[in-house]
Order: sequence, then C-alpha cells, then structure tokens
Amino acid sequence: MNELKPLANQESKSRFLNDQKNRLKTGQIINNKTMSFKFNGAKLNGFEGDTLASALLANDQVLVGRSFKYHRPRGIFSSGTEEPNALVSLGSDEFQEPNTKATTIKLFDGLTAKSQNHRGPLAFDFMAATDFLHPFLSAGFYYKTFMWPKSFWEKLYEPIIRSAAGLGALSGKPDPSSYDKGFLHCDILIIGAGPSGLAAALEAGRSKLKVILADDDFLLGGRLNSEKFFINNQSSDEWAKNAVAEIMQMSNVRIMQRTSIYGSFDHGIFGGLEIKYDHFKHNHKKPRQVLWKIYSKFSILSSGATERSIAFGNNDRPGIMLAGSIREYINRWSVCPGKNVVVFTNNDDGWRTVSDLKSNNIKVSAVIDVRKETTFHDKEMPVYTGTSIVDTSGRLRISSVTLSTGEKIPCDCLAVSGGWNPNVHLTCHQRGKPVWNDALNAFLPNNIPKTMKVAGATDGLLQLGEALKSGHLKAKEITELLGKKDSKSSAPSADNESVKNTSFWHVSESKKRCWVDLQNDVTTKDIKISFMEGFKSVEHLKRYSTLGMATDQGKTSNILGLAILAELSGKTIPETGTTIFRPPYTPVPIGAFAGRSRGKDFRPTRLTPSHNFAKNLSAVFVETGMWMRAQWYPKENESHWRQSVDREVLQTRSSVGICDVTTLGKIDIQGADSAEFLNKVYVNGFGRLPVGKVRYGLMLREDGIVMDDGTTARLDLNHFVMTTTTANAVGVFRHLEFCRQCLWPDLDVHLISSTEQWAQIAVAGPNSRKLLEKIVDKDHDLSNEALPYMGCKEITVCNKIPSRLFRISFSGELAYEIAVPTRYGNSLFEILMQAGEEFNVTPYGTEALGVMRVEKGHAAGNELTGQTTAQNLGLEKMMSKQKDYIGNVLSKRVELNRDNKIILMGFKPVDKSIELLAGSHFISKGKTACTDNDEGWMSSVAFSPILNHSIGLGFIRNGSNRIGEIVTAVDLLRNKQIDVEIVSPHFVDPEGEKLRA
Amino acid sequence: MLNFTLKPEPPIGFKEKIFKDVKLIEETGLSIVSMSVPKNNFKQLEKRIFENYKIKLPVIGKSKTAKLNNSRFLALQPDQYFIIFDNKTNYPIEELNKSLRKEGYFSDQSDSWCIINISGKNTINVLERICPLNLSSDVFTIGNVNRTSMEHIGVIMVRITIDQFILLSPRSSSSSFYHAIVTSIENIL
Repeated sequence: MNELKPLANQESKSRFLNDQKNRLKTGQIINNKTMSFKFNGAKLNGFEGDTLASALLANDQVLVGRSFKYHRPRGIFSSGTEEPNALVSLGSDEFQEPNTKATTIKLFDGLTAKSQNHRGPLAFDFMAATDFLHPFLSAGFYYKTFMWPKSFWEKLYEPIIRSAAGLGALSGKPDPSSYDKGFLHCDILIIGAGPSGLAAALEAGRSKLKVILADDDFLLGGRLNSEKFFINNQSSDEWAKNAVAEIMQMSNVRIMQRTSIYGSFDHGIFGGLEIKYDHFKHNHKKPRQVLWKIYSKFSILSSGATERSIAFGNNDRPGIMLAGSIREYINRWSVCPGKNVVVFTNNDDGWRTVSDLKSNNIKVSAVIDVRKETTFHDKEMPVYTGTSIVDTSGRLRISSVTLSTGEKIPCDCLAVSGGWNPNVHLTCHQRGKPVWNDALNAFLPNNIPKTMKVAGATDGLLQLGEALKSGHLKAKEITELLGKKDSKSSAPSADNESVKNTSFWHVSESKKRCWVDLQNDVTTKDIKISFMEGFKSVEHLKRYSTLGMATDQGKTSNILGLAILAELSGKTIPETGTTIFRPPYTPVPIGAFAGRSRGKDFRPTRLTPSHNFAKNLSAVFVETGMWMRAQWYPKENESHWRQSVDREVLQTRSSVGICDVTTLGKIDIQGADSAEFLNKVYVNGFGRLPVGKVRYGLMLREDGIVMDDGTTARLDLNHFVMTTTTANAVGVFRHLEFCRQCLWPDLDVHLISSTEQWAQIAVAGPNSRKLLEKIVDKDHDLSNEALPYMGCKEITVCNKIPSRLFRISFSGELAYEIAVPTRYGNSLFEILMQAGEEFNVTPYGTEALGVMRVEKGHAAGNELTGQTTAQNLGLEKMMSKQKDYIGNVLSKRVELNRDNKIILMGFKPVDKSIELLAGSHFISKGKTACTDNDEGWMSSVAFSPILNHSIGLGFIRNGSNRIGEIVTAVDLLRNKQIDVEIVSPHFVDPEGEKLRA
Repeated sequence: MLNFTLKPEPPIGFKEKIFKDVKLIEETGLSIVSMSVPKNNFKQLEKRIFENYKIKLPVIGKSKTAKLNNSRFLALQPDQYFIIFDNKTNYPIEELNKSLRKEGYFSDQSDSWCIINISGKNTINVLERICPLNLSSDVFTIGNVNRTSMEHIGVIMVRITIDQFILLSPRSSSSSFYHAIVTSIENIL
C-alpha cells in the first residue's frame, strides 16, 4: 500500500497540472502542495505559493473583472500592489472584503473570490452597454451634465451613477474580524526585501544592528525570484533563499513578511500593516491584521520600481499585461498567461521577457520596439523596430494587435513595457519632492528625511549589480553613523543588465481610446479634455479626471498621465511636476486603524470603589468621562427613573443617603510653601486656613474665566488635599504641575494625585452624623463642636482603618464626605448600608446628587462652561483684593464687570406643572424671541421632589436685581415658550441652617 | 460603635494566571508610597536612606532594591520617588517614617495602583502589542523604570529580569488594563 501512495499522488498531481492549462511543467512551485479554490463559484486548483492571480492565470482565467466606468472586460495586468484591474471580493457574508488585489492574495485551500462590478455573468455584463455611450462619458461629464435641476442630484443622479459605476461592495454588516496594533523599535528599518534590501539586511545584520526587514510579499527576494540572474555564481532565487536563511538565524533581525510599510512619518516613525491570518482558512479568532508603529533610528528604502505601460488603442483588453509581470509569472509561478505572445516595448527590459518566454518554449509572435535601433536582435521571430501598436482586438481576450504599419498579428497575450518608475512614494510623505531624471525617464528621490537612505531600484539603480552594491553600502554607512563596527563583508556581486530606455509614452497615431489609468477608466482623450477645459495643473488634472486615484493610486498610470499633460502644455515633465504622494502607500482597512479599540474596548473604563455594590443593587450606570457611575438605584416597584430619583432625594433629605463621590479629583499637596501656592492658584485666600479646616476655592484661568472649583482641606501645616470636579481632575492637576514647575519653581511644593487612593463617600442628611458615629472608632468626636461645618479630621473607622472625614455638603444637608483607602471602599459602602438600616438609609446616584445640588444652587459643569466668570457665578466677593492670583488682572476687564452682566440665578415656572428645559434662552416678556433680545440661558434643570415642581439654574443679565420678574424661557428647537420667575438660586435652606446643624 | 469590619478587596482579584509561557500575578501585600524631596533637603534624605537601606537613591528612569522590607525605590521625576515595599499594615507612611523620620514628604499610593507582574519568554511579544516603549534589553535594562501609556491607560513599568516586568496601572481602570494584557496574550499565543 505504501508503495502505491506516491504513484497515486503522482497521478493526482498530473491531473492538477492538466487542469491548469497555463501551468508550465517545470519549476519549483509544481512540487508544492496542491490547493483548491473557487472563483465566481467555479472550483479551480493551484499550488501552495501561488497568488490568487497566478492561480487564476494558471487556470486560463484571463478575464477577472469589469472596469469602473465603462464595464469593459478586464484581466490581470501586473503581479503586485500596482494592480489596477484584478480587484476581487474575498470571502462571503459579513467576511466579504471587496477590492482586494488578486495579485497580492496568497492562495489558500478553500479560498473563495468573486469578480466585481458587473450585472449578470462576468463574461456577459449587461452594464457593458455603457461602453457604447463613451463619447458622452469623458472627463467632467458628471460635473457638466447633472447640474440641473439641482434637487435631482441626490435623489436621482447620484443613486443611478453609484449603482452603475464603481468597484466592489461591502457586506453592510459589522466586520467580525479582529485587528490589533503594536509598537516596534529598531536601528534600521529596511523597506523591501528585494536585491538591495536583502544585501542591506545581510550587512546590517552581520554588523549586529537591530534590523527590521519588511516586505509586503509573502516570499522574500523581490525580483530575484522572478528573474534568471546570477549572484555570487548562484541563481538569483537560490541566492535570495540562502540570504533569507542566513538572516533568519540572526537574533538581531526581525523579518516581517506580508508587511506593507504604508507611511513614513516624523522622527523615523513608519506605519506598517502586517497580514497575519488572511491567508489561512481559519484564523482561530486571532487578529487578521496588525498595524505596527515602527520607531527607527534609520531606514533604508529599497522598495524597488514599478513597470509602467504605454497608452495605445484598446490597450486594456484581458491578456494585455506588463512585460516584467509576465516574466514573474513564468519564473516564479511557472505560469504563462498565453501560448502566443507579442511583446511591445520602449526599453531593453522588455527584451528580457522575450528571452524568458523563449527559454520556456513559449511562442513569441513578434517583438515591437518603438526605438529605431536596439542592441537586441532575434532571427527566430519578427522584430519590428521604430514601430508601435495602434489597436488591438478581441472582446474577452486579446486576439490580435494592429501595428502602426497596418499589419495585424494574432496573439493571445501582449506583454507591454513602458519603462520603470522607482517607488519613491515613502520619500515624499514628509514633503520630499522627487526630481526628474532624463536618463531613466523617471522621478528619483530628493530632499528625503535625514534618517532615510534609498537603495537599489528606488534610487534609480535598476541594474542588479548596482542595486546589490547600493544596499550593502547604505547599511555600512548607517553602521558607521551609529558608531558600530561593520562586518567587513563585501557586497554580493552580479552582472549589470542593460536597461536602456526611451521616453515614449503613448501612440499618438492611435485612433481608438488609449487607456492611461485602467482602474479609473481614464484615457488620453480625458487628459486632453481636462487640459482644454483649463485643468492644467497636475493636481487639478487628478481631481477632474480621477487619474491616479483609488486602490492602486496610479502606480502604473501617474507618470504616463503627467507625461501626456506635459506634452499638451508644451512643458517638460519636471516643469509639469507630479502630484504629492501621501500615505497610505497601499490600502489599509479602517478596521486595522481602529485595532482593538472597538465597542466596549474603544476606551478604558474606570470603576468606582462601590461598583460591585451598585451592580448588585441593579444600579443604572452613566458614563462620566471614563468613569461608570451609578445614576440611580431602581427598586422593584419603580418603573420610571424619576420615581427612583425622587425617592433617593426625599429619603436623603428626610434621613440619610450615601453616594460614591470618589470620582472627584483629589490632589495631595505638600511642602513648606503649599499655602502660598494655593493662594496663587485660587481667587480666595488659603494662607490662614487653620489645620483641620476645609475651604471652598475657585480657580481662574489667566483670562479671568473660571477654570474649576472645589474644596481644599488642610490636614497639616504643610499638607493640603485639594478636590476638583470629576471632569477637570486631570486638567487641574496638569495646570498645577505647570504652575509648580514653570511659574514658581522656587516654591517648596509637591503634588501627587490621590484620586484613586481614597474611596470617598458622601453621607448626607439629618441622620448622617448618627450613621457615621456607628462606624467611626469611639475615640473620635463627631459633635458639631468637635467637627463643625467645613471641618476635617484624620480618623479611624471600623477598628483602626485609616480614614479622612470632611464635613462638607453638596446637597445642602448636614453632610460629610468620608474617605478610606480604596481597597475598603466597597466594604464601607456595604457597612454604611448595614449600619444605616435603622435610619432607612438609601444609596443615591448622580441624578439625585444633581437634583440636590440644583436645589441648593451649587454651580457644576453646566455652569463652569469655560465662558463664565466668578462674577457671573455670583462669587465675586470671594475674589481677594489682598493678594495676586492667576486670572486676577484679566478678571478686571470692563466687559466682564458691566452692571448688566449675566448672573447665576434660580428659575421656577409660573405654571408649576410645566417642566423646564435646559438650554432655553431668556427673553423679556413681550419681546420677540431673537438673538438681539437674548438675555441669557437656562443651564441646569431638575424636578425638585421637595418643592414638587421643576426648577432651574441659569444665567440672566443683571439677574440679582430682577428677582420676582417674569421672563420667557424660549426653546426654539423644541418649540416651547415657558414663563418663569427669577428667584434666588438657593431653593432649599438658603440660610444654610441644615448644613451647620 | 457596633462591631463592623471592613474587608479589603484587591483591584482586580485574579491572583495568578498562566497562559502557556506567560504568567501574570496580581501583586498584593505591597505598599506604594510616593516620596518627594523637600527643597534643600536632598542630602539629608539621601543620608537617611543610605543609613537604613544601604543604597543611594537611583537616578531618574532607574530603580534600586534594598533588603529592608524588600524595598524598591523608583526614580520617576526630579525630586519624586515611589517606594514599593512589603507591608502588612494600613499605615505605610508610619512604617517608612520609622527609618526616614519625616525627612521627605510622603503620600500613600498603595491603593492608587494595581500591580501586575508579567513574566515568561513571550512577555516582550505580549507587551509590544500595547507598549510604545523600546523594551530591548540593552535599552530598557533590568531595573529601568518608565512611565508610559498602554491602551490609553497611564502605566509605570519596571524591568525586573530580561522577561519579567512589574506594571503599575491606576486602580480604577485596572480591569481594562488586565483585559488589554490578556487580549495581547490571546492574540499572540
């Protein structure tokens, strides 16, 4: 049985090979594992190591899609990220990913792909009728045609155009895949693992530098895998394999295959997208892609060059491909896209395709070289020099070419070589402007970032020997710059192939449409029309004609387009310039940018110490910044939030309630100059605040506007604890650090946040003292005399647990805030509930807290908007005249102190049954509701269960002198006008008797 | 006063988790105290530390360990240090003042932070998914300390060995931080 197995495998393998019409019978790949995949539902086979494109071509699937605008049949054009045509949708349902390039997708067993942008079968697209309308659909057609009537654009024109044109579609469902991010650091980031990249990595690795070698391909080596060159007397692919093997052994080199470096940013930072699991059938719930932020000391850009096309009549038919790509399909994947090939070139490189076709016994029907003279000659086939192709024929696949001589040559594949463009993109992301090189007829890097070096074809060194040398040399230079010793190894050696070329961009005698940008259906005619209509700048041309847009970003078309523009304008290419290359170099999914920051992982969550307690009581939570705070604690019989909140307020005001107020910022301030420091940052004085006392403080910005407020307690002569609002906790701490470090560095003041250290619970209500007395250790006296209003103490609770007790009140009741180390916070909440049973204690949430503070007339976030002053808040008496403080000078500005300035007041509805609306604007009775008559606004509203009607706080001009006046609160958004009476902002206990009890 | 007893709770409560070759421990039983140096008192404070702990204060970005209470001094910024040490009482400052006699300004930070000890041969691979610092062993050497941000959470990290770190993250968001680490582990292992 065992002996039969290989035979069975052999039979199976040859069946696979026979199924793949265009697969050559030689080459490494055919020894690999076989794989099956589906394209448009048809089951096809390929080999491990194939891309989807190579496998499709192997199966003679030349037609792979339809063009963007005209729905013309399109085939695979290239072999890499530059691909403009072969865009497919991968996967299905919610996993469907449109517009992926078949040329970059690694084949895996079970892959499913669909072609895009056609109605009906791919070979018979009903929308292909659009092509007949092409005389009307040139550049700017939409802009000019769909101007009238205006209302039709969104309702009629745009939906029709969108459904008729375009690329693939998203599933419309949430993306179920996960993504991740990461950070990497290195001495050198080498971008591209072609000849120069590998030479650089070998040298840098041997010199013990920390290297990251990134390449978007899954096989390292770049063109070494697709050419028949020799390096150090080894075949180029063998040399690449050995080089990679050596590099892989180096612990100081990190190889990142399938990683596209998509952007170059300041300070040597690069963005990289690593494909992790896209090439597997199952990802085992791992992130499919990782977005890396790479910090490099130096970088070597060795991203190679991209072949460009030539524009001639009907140059977009399936079977027309870049000559270098055909070479790659033959040499790397053992695939020849046709059996009868014509080669059309303007340079020597095209001839190498001729050579490789011939050495694989593939018929070359003709070579057409636009140059009158070439050094290449071949007697075995017709060679046409000084000739060009003016037209092609074949509906779903090229069947012949027509030469400028009128001769027609049958073929099933046309290899086109228009020269090579160095991939300079990453040198331009920081505004580097490439310069034109007449010898190469291409742009070369210029004004590149200081820590970037460019090697190989990217630097215009298209010959292999030169490319290898340059990679090696750049690595050596960086080694020296880093002060390290180089490896003393010499550069790999190879011959330099001939790369002569000429500046031939398009066949002007072609009468048919000549495509420049295949992805966007832009022809030479479109460029001419754009130019004629005044879009003469290359940037305008791009926007008007869409040249160079979308997924390929014009990698094969940009230079061609601007060369034609230059010709039209009578300028040189350098005078015409180029568009600005911006990140990303290759498309990056939005999901990868988001990484794992999705849903609940969008940002961290901060939990209060009593979170578990509140959760067990089914509290309804609200996000306040990152904090999750209990909003109210519903009871079983309560069906509406107001019932819960009203009960919590009434129970607190009648007996006692407890509330987690840990989220307020706490800043520990120590040092001999702490009091002086506080004097400088607060409007009111703190120098004479006695130890054991708390004071309300108001802090201004430099411009005299209120920054924040809160209480500050003096625990010791040189030790204060400041509280801030929850929202401004970080901002105030940052401000104080700035003051300490930059404004008054000589003061002996030290700050540290203690917000997280202490679980702080407000205990409010007439029974709050009695409740606390049950848990405070007996040697601490809580009587009004021992701890009066605005007093504080360091005490112990529940048998020697350290605690801080502040007699302060936000609710207006007799109230305290008790703090214990956070580890005891949840337990303290439970114990207060337990101990408070006899008082019918209630936990209350932020809603009840808000109601009670409105009833008491305390300003909060709605009032401290960054636009209000101490004067507006009615707190001008707090502003010390005895000392200087931040904001002092500018708070005296005339405009801020006018008699008719807005003042914080209370408001109650004339009709008590009406609910007030926050955001309403105040208009005097009888006046029109317009901006000119606007006298202020309602900042906070609440239903007061104590008063049994709605109440509000707000700012109104000259408010303190208008008590009793009726004004209208106008809300134009909700179309409400409510008559309200101006009252004192203190709705309950205006004299403060309760809190001093 | 009735007999009420407060029960302490750890920030997260996972104690120890092993994921193949990455181990996470939630450190408890340690106190963290911030020590600030009073103006013109550095020499006196340093002297007192040397007398009791037999070490010189580390330079910023470094940490040093001492035998007394198994203490580790982290130098975070000019004039500010964190001291992490074994302590079973609720009064870490009093414990410190037994030796340092109020030569510095102290603030208890024990409950401000969650301490996660991460170790194992894949530690760096886990951390590189969330930590922007260069954790190369010749850059962030053993004993180095740095403040950084991971998944929008401020973190203080100390390198203990080549593949062991302690990570201090704010207590209130420690569950999110733990989730971030575990997600990283699951993403790579």
